[in-house]
Amino acid sequence: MSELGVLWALIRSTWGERLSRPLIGILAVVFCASKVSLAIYTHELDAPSLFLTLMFAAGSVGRDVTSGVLPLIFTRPVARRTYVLAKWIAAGAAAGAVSALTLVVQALLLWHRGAPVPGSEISAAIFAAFTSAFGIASVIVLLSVLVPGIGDMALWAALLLIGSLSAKVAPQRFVQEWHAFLEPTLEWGAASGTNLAGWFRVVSYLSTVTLCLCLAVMAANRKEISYAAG
Amino acid sequence: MRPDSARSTRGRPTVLLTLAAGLLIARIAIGVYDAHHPPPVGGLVHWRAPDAAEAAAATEGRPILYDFSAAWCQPCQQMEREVFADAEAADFINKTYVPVRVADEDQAAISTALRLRHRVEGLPTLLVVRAGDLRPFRIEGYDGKRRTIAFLKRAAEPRQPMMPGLDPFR
Repeated sequence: MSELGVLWALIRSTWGERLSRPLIGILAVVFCASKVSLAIYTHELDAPSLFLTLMFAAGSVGRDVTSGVLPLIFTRPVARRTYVLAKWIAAGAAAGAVSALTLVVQALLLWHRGAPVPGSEISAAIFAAFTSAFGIASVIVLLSVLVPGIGDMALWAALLLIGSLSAKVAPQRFVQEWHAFLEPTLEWGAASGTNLAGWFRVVSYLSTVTLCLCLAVMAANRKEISYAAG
Repeated sequence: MRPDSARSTRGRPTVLLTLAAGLLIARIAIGVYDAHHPPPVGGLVHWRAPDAAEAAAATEGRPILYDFSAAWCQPCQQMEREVFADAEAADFINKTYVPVRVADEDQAAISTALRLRHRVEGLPTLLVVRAGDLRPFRIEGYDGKRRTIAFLKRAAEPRQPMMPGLDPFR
């Protein structure tokens, strides 16, 4: 099977595994519905991409390690970079797609209630939802390679907390960059802008995502995965 | 494409590594350049003095846009760079509103009175006040350029009828 074929097979199996857990489905529906209800009050589009990405990406590698699935996967000639990229794409695409769907429902409801949202704003929100989903997924996948189970969620929350607590002592710029690293996102305004601040946002986002994926692949390459390794 | 079995499954991600290194260098370079070349602060929005705002708003028939901010407030500076230093956004603000900046450092009586009257508790806060309107539009914190501009555009329009009981400004 080609590398692309393996990638697609791994993406599909990840989606299948996530969708087979009813709790994830229920939580996603409840959360998206609450975001839609809120949009009616605020007249603002609001994507649930952060929550959905955390839900879809949590333990994406770590759970495979603890459940013993990973040694089975690697009995096949699967490149570790393919495995890591598949986890990232699966989580990012699923969270992005569901977020986009939620935004479309919000826009339709607002239009129905006489407060139409311009098409440009809807497409910008969808763009931000996808970039946010793929950005956060890259961070979670990196953490997931480093810690077993859903320890990546705990680690992510702890790092976020450290960033918030350091706001009192660390320079504001450091705190901002710290948060931007943990929650990378890109707004259409920044991506389409030609000013330096816009370029910085674009480069920062892409840098964070590639750096996380690169580190994740390198960490996965160094990982001893076998039943004997525990 | 050759099958994976012909290659190491632990191959170094060369393309990704090169891309990540290049982007990291570009990020640092732009960051350093940006730090040494800050954008002009408030250069594009024609801020008015707080004590002359109400008279100007009555004469020109435009709502007042209050920007409660501070020099030490990072989100305020981010909004400054992304919204008020953006030519299109600044032009919209200048044409639509009577823009008034109330800096936290400004301890003049009128500025203090404005902060108290509008119950400003967090920075930045944007407030759109129309003559005779007891319910000013407001947004607290900086949630990105898109949302801020959407707020400014929405606040410039006459209030749209909402579902009874659902108006958050009522």
